[in-house]
Amino acid sequence: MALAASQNRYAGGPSPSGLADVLDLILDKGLVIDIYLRVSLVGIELLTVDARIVVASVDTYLRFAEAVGRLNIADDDKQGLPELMESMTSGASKSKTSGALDAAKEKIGGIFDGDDDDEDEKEKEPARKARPRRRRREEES
Amino acid sequence: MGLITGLLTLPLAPVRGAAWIAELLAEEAERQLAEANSPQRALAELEAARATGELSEEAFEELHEQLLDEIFAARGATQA
Amino acid sequence: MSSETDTATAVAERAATAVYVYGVTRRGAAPPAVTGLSEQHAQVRAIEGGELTALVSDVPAQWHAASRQDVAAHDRVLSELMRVKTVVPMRFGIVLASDAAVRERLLQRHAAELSELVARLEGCEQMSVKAYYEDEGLLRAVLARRPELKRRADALERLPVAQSQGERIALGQDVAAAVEEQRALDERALVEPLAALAEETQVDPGASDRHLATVQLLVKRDRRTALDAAVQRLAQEHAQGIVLRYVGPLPPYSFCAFALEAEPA
Repeated sequence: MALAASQNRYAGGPSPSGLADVLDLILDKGLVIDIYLRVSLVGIELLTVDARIVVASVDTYLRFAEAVGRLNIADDDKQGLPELMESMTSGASKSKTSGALDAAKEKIGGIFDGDDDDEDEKEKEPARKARPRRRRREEES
Repeated sequence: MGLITGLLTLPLAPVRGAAWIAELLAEEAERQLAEANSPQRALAELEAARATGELSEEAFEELHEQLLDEIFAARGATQA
Repeated sequence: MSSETDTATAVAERAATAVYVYGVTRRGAAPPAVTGLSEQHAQVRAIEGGELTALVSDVPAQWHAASRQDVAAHDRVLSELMRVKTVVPMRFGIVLASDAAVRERLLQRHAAELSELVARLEGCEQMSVKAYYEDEGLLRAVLARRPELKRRADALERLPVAQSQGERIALGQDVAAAVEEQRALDERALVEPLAALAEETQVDPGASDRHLATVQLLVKRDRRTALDAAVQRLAQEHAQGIVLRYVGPLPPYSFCAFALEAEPA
């Protein structure tokens, strides 16, 4: 289940890295010598990620209050594994989130053919398990 | 709270039909993933979804590559 | 100095090619047998200067990054090089005018800084830990610590919305403040056990609501096992609200983030 997967996730050490893991570092860190030819970097700054922005507005505060109201936290910190799993699966917003992302993938279009045979079901366990990762490249162990 | 915060802005459906909700949520999810003025945010949301297991590795890599290709293509167009 | 740069730039613009620099190692590094980032001149080669070596590719003088493959190639070259030699990685996109510029202006003029950087990195690896909140993990953690916020919300549920706007906004403000406090607490709990094992640590704040923080660690190779165990322990402790993404070794970009010959501000 989701919890067991995350508990054992790094039993064998780190995951192999991909471009996403180093993108910010490559573009923003590393050594620079200011005699480089400027043309090489025009526009590349599009890719560096901003820190999150917290919007302080009445709208934001109302949504925070509503989010707290909707959250079901009965017996949260004393739950055993089965009870916790049940409260997670019954939480409406959690199943919505995974369903929404699946639907978004379908809209983006047919690139996930054959990914999953239960693609059509909306009722399913909230957290998709990490598939066996294909290695992007060799990594020193 | 990213996707959930967005969902809270949607009008409440008079009847909770699964298909209607799914359609609306799909549009909202797609809108959030493809925010035109913030490709960085879309990249960040993709990484969060992959980390929590909502996106498989394969799906993440496909979407991430697509998004980067779009970003580079858009940059090329504006420089023309 | 600026006239030298202008001349070098003019030379590069007349020349067919310029020199893309991936990184710097101690003398004697063999170029890695992987494809570099230029289609025309994909081979990576070495330029020696004193005690140091720069790993480079030839690129067209007007080269600019055109695709994600260019960025991927930069990292591929450095990752391969890193397996056999300590490397100071350049940021993406450092193109110098010529071999001479690389040898004289980078390797020789900045030999002291580069050697110090290499020495600092020797025997170390960069590891990356990114922490994310599972769906409602952040809010649940807040309410576990501040149950009165939930009680206030439940009480407000029974009142008409129109007549309780003020209280709802006030509750929202308190929740927002509690969320920021929780993030700070969670970040500290994440960073402290990891930083204790590292030579250097860098923490970047989260890039989205669900992204708590990213921790970059420069760790001695013989402490890797201890770090792996610490990350696994953290992953287990937070299994109910926070997930970690642990990757590495990475080229040590985060610990070489310096500008040589920067214009004074």
